[in-house]
Amino acid sequence: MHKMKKLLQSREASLLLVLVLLCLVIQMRNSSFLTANVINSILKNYSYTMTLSVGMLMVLLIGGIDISVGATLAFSGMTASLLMRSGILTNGFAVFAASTLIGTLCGLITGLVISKGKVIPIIATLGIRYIYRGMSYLISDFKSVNASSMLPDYKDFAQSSTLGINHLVWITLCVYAVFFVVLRWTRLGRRIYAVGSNPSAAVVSGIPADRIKIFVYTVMGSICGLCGSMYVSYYASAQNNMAMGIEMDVIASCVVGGVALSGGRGSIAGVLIGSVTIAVISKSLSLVGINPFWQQALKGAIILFAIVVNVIVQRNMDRRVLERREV
Amino acid sequence: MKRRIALMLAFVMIMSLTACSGKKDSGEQPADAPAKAPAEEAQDPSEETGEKEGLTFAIVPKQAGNEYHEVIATGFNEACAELGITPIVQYPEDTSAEAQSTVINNLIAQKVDGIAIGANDPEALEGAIKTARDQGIVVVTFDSDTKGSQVFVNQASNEAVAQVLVDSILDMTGGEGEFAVLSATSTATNQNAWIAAMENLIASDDKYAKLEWVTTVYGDDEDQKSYDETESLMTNYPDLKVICSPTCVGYLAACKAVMNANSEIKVAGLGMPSWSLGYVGEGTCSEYMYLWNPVEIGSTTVYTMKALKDGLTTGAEGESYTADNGKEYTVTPSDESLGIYSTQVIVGDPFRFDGSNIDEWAAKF
Repeated sequence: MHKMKKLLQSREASLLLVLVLLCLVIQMRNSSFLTANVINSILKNYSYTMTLSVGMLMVLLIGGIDISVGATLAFSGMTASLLMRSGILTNGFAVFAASTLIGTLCGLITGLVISKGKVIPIIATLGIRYIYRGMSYLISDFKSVNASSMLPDYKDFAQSSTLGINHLVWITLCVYAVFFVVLRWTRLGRRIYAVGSNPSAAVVSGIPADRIKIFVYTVMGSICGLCGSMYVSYYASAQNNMAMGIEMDVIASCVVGGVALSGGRGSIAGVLIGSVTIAVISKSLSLVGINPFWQQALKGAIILFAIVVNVIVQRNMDRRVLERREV
Repeated sequence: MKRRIALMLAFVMIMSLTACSGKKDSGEQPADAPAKAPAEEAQDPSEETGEKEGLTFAIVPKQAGNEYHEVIATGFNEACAELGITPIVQYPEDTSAEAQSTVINNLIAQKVDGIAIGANDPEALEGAIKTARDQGIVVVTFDSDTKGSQVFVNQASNEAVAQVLVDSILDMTGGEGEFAVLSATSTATNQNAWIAAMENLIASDDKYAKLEWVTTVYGDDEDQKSYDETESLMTNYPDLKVICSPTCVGYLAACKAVMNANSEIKVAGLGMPSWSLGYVGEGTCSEYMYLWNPVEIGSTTVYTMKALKDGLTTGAEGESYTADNGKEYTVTPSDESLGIYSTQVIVGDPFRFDGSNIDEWAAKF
């Protein structure tokens, strides 16, 4: 009974409630919303946004931020596509691997600039965002890589499924599962939380904060790289302006999922709910047929609503904890 | 030690930045541009004009990295080379009107003879353009018009675009049934102009009476949003026969979504040949699509500026002249309701791409 009550008061539960409410409202407006077909297409179409949110969670947990994810995604996806077109990569798996590797290197550079260069994350990634985007223009010579020059197995991968679940959604699920375990049950996970919630205490207690930071940004880069190849295989076209501004949706997913921008607070479960919420909002705007002039404002309003609910629940929880201490 | 590494990293980054810009500059020089004119541009190489003054014409595209504008710039460079004009290609820093204003002011300082602008805003460039024109610089617009320009080089008249789109829909639906339009942003002037012209056309002729226009949705020229909108159209309108997308990003996303869903829906619209390779032709979702030849837009821009400079025309409505490419143009009136504030010079009719020519054109743009 006590456990049940605790669960209901948790932040994730309040987020879930917002999501369920949202779904019900949409379902009332359009009865085809809660069908396998539409749910499938939401998960598929937003698989890379959802995956990116896991990386962003860790970046936010250490008190950082990364606004270069769209650019990193485009650069690694584009580079891998060019390698595929020139015949260097000969199977779909290799394209995914190459893109992830390139993303990892990009992330490593970002991490080094931030931790060793002592540059504030938002400034560092602001600059890096332009650099990587510019580099994807340069390597592609301002041209796109089109479907006809892509490997068939690479294109088919994003359109086929195993056990009724699309392959891209499988990737997303795996990434969530891995980082759920890492953040919850490993020393590394606890250190990530420690660096974000109290940086000086973390350093005093012997946690190599710089190395953790480099690690987190590198992982963010890997995820960007992975998502780059997901994106390209899904749309079967690599354009150098792809995923422009996607970082806003990714950060919104985290914030709606209850991740604190000040660091140290947030969970994989919350991010999962948050990113599904963002995906549902985006999808429903087209499904319900909202006036296009209203769409942006409405999206913002729903995001704010979710965050306000979240903050109120959090405040109540904090107060209850304090009350218990006083007794 | 750590400091030193950081400094080195910063240095490398700055170097890579300068390296980037350096390379870009050289890429814009006309010498690098392939001097291959497309087949239908019947050029007359014997014509030798404009050598004496050593004119300089500049083009200001919408943004860097926009493939379509890149190809327009290629056409611009080629035509300039032919007429012995020095071309300058200058990209604005971003897609804002402010960035374009800055570029225009720089060009005025360089004392160029003509500026062609793919305007990012219908109004905000008026000041910069006025300054240029006051100094005797010829200013024309292409792709999207803006207030203050002397002439708008229009890729195709809105009526002609609407005509090919509506006829595609009529053909693909088999004469009757539901269709929807997938546009770019809800504020895009050219998109809205075409949509308005389509409405007029459908209302004007009885042969379109059995077409049912169910809705117009906006994909914002983003992959994800366009894809979402297409899927929602398929969900919401099970009897839909045709999706018409007069924008290259939307067209591609619609083709992709329709084919992935194994739907019977046909896609009509305006698409980039290189992007749409594999989606156009027999047995696909789209037997044919339309667009214009961006190389020709670039070259027509040059010929128009040259004609204005030479005094062949003043850009006033109703005037006719024969440009240096031997083609006769008539200046047509502006149409403010369609976002065209200047008088127009029409490049030509939309060009049809199908299974027979898509490969050849995909290699070009």
